[in-house]
Amino acid sequence: MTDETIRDVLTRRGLSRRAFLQVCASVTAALALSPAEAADMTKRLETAERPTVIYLSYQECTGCLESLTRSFSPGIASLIFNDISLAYNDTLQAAAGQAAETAKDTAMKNAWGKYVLVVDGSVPLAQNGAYCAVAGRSAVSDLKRAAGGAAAVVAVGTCAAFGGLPYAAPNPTGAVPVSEIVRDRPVINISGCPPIAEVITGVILYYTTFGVPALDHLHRPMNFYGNTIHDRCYRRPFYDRGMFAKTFDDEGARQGWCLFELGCKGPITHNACPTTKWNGGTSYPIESGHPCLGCSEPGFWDKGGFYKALSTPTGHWSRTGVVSGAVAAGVAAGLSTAAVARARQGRAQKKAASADSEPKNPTS
Amino acid sequence: MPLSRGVIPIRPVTAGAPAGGALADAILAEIASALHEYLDTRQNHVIDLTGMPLSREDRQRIDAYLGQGEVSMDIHALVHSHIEETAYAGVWRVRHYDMGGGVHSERIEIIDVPEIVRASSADMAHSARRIEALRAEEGA
Ligand code: SF4
Repeated sequence: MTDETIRDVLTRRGLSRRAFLQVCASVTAALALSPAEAADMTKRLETAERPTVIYLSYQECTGCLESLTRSFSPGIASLIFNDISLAYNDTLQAAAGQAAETAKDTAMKNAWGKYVLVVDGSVPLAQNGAYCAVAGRSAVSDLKRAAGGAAAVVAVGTCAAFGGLPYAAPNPTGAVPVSEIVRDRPVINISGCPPIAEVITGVILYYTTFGVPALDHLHRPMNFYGNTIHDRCYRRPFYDRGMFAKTFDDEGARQGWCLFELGCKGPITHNACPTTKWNGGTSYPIESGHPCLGCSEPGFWDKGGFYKALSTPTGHWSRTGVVSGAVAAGVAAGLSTAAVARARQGRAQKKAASADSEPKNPTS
Repeated sequence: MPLSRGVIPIRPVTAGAPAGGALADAILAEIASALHEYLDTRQNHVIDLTGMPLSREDRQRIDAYLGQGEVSMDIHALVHSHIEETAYAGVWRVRHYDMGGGVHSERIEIIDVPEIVRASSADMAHSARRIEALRAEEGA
């Protein structure tokens, strides 16, 4: 069933090699590959098997799936994901009840050992997992079974990657991230609340052609999570000059000054928002005048208030070593937060390099 | 009158892009060396501008440096692509648009003809089959 290549699928739909090259350009641009890697990826995509993706949802709000399927005009990435590779998804399918369960079993059986398992939502362990059950099976046992046939598991969204909202104190359901359940195969975390659609599809295609990408210390792909929002923020020159908006409607806010004092978590948040942007490249929160909430970092909801500046003592940030006093000395803090980010990036890269012997794509 | 205009005065200003056009100079140097490389080894080169943090000044400088050449082409396949040669032979600007009309990939390619323009053998074989089928149908 999965012997077809991505190129075959496009050909079958009457699309030319030019269309295929447009797909390749889109994917390599999204992944920010070097020219050599991009050429290599095009060559590999030509012969790469159509990936089979099985998408399961547990304790989640469906925002991730909304991000994936609705937030941009039907793009190339969504075409690949929805029409070419998605073999099963609870929410999108028309079938219900026993028919849905049978469809899931068939999809898994057809590609056992080869499929990419995408999971969104955290997994509750309290009360023997009774807080989340699908077809009479708890989320934890369902996930263990599905992971058994997966080549790799992609945890989509901050809930699946780090526990997310259900994990927030006092975590009444005993929610845990996917990586605490699946320990015997690669887990790639694509965090964000929700993650950017192009990041989700880009990572799946990267996996199909090259195997597991280089990951940071939180198992997020370096291509997208290697830099902080602050590293790439277009308001950075204002930060460096100490020019901050103090309220949402003052002159600074109107002039597009830095949102640090309004609670921006950009300096400690790793994501691709400033470059990949949202809604088909339209903008990202800071561009719309709102500080970054830090949604792609673990525990972002428990960090003492979205609108409190990082430098404000809250008692909640002790674990992360945030630079304080940034308001008083914008330039110095700019340098030091960037240095912290770079040091972390360096560490992650080193770690990724030493973990280069990760299992490669079994289907190629 | 929309409520927001009446109650909250909205005065949008364009955020200033970081100044400086250093990236544009680096790109120009890369193009020059890629042209030599192509002449020596026939190895093409692609500079993907999509994810680069280019300032407005960088963009203006790149446009001014590269200018416009003799050839421009449009591809209407899965999406629309616009290709034009710059004032320098063998230096092409290739833009792929998404289905909403935005640019989702923008690159500079150094090659005789951008690869995406060439008709592939597989597509030409497919064309031959289609024409034969058409003739058979008309003859029947
Ligand atoms: S603090 Fe936020 S708004 Fe200010 S430069 Fe950093 S990321 Fe941009």
